[in-house]
Amino acid sequence: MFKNFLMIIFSMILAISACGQESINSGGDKLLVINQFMSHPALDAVAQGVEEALRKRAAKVKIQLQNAQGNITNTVQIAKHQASQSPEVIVAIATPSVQSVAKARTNVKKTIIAFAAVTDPVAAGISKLENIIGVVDTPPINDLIDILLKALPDKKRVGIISNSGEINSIKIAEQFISYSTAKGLRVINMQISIGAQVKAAAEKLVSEVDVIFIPQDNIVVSAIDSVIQVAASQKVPVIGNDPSLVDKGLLFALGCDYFKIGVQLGDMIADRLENKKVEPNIQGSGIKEFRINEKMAVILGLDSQILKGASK
Amino acid sequence: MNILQLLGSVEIGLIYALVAIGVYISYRIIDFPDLTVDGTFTLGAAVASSLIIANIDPLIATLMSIFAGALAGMVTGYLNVRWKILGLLAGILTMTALYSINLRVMGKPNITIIEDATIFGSQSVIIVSSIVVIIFIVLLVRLFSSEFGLAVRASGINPKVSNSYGINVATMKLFALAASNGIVALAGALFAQSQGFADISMGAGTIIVGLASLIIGEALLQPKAIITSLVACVIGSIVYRIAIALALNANSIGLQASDLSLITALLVAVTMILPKLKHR
Repeated sequence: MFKNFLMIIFSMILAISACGQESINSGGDKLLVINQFMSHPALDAVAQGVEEALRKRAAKVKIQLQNAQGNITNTVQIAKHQASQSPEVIVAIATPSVQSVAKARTNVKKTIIAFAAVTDPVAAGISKLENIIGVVDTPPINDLIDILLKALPDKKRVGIISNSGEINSIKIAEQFISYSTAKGLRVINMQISIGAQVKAAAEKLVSEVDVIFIPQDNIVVSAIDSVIQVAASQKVPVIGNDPSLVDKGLLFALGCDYFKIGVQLGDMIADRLENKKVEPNIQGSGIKEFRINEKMAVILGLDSQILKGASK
Repeated sequence: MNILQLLGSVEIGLIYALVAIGVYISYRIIDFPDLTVDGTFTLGAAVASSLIIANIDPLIATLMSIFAGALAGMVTGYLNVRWKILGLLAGILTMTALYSINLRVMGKPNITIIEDATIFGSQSVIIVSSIVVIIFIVLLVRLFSSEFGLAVRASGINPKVSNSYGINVATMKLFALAASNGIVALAGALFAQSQGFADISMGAGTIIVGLASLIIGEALLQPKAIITSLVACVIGSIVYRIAIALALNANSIGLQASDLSLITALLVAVTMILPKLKHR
């Protein structure tokens, strides 16, 4: 009895899964699939932005999102799965997703790859692919350093806590070091690889630097509270390039707005679906977001008006 | 599920069959729960991709990755047999160290070889990896029925008695761990070459996938001989991938993208329960 019951359940799952295919291809809507590498506020915001833009443009698309939950093998399998549905557009969010999608795409002429949340498409090997559009989220690091120089001119020693396991983090740290050294700042870069090392890195830095810079990545950001706590106890300001972290206690941050990146990408997709040209096919994000934490400014004894003035 | 999805599952399943075989050697043959594989999978990918970028022949690059993986396995074995560090911990230590080593090997967390020549050439991934899997099954079956192989198996079943028969249990353990991790590194090298990139996080969860594939295969085939066990690893790995492919199709019944892991786990559990019901 129990056996039969289980058999029925099993075949029902199989049947439903098999039917899933039919309903996708029915209807006149074009299929757009999203391959999102993991759940993360920035990546979620991109997906929402794309959906929002396409809804506003009233593009006739059916959107299907798959999330690999941070597992590369799943990303690859999802990419193959999505390619097999021969969609009009595959949206790939984050570098491993784009790389997997590029390899899995079966019909290069028909299927457009649209990517976002990739900092360096050339290093990722996707810049020269055919039929690809995307928005690069190069963070405005030089502008951030200019603001820092104007707002806190007496702070000459900067410490960075970066994640050696994430390409974005490394690239941002490199860019920060090259521009700030040229501007006469002294920089110490602490590289960590697991969350447990973040606090120790912060503790070492506070005694040696005047400001701590946090590049956007997954590990350092996940332990941001301990950095803020350590730094605030020594009155060392923490700055970054992810504006969503200002609420956590960064003094200020200048960065990309990921929702707007998603909207920009969604508009590019809509243009392509209406057979308009998208030039250039890989665009930068023009929109920057600057945010200040006024409470933190008070704690550190700084004037938030001066900080605000420095961003202009 | 359409034919392309099935082929996609088989393709990834065949490469991960090597992981399952590696896990079978450590977990079943010498009874050693070896967590090193999370690091060696990435190590294989890292070594092969870095060498390919340096214009080394892909075949040599792949062989070097097997060698690197074997070396990592021997480190775990050495920590365990020479210094009596608990097997689980020895594996964790090597795996942790490998994270830094893999970063050194690659130079950065993500490298791409999408435009470089790989071991697959213009051949289909399924055909090449099937050939590799068959070669390894044949080699391992011959090995484990030789006198040396029997000694390895004996030292896993009963180390004390094996020792009294003059088998050097420590050497056997070292050999098995080297073989296991070499094969897992090969899987990593093949995976990176088939997908065109290597990423520092690609090994995360390898042990879970390997173990799940092994146990699914054993539940389905209930193997007694070495050859059926190895074939069970291949079948288990492919079934595991098909379960994920089915889970990916399930979003039309109101399930969310984030339910993927749950549905996969359910399908795998059902796959393992079904064969047992026959014996009721």
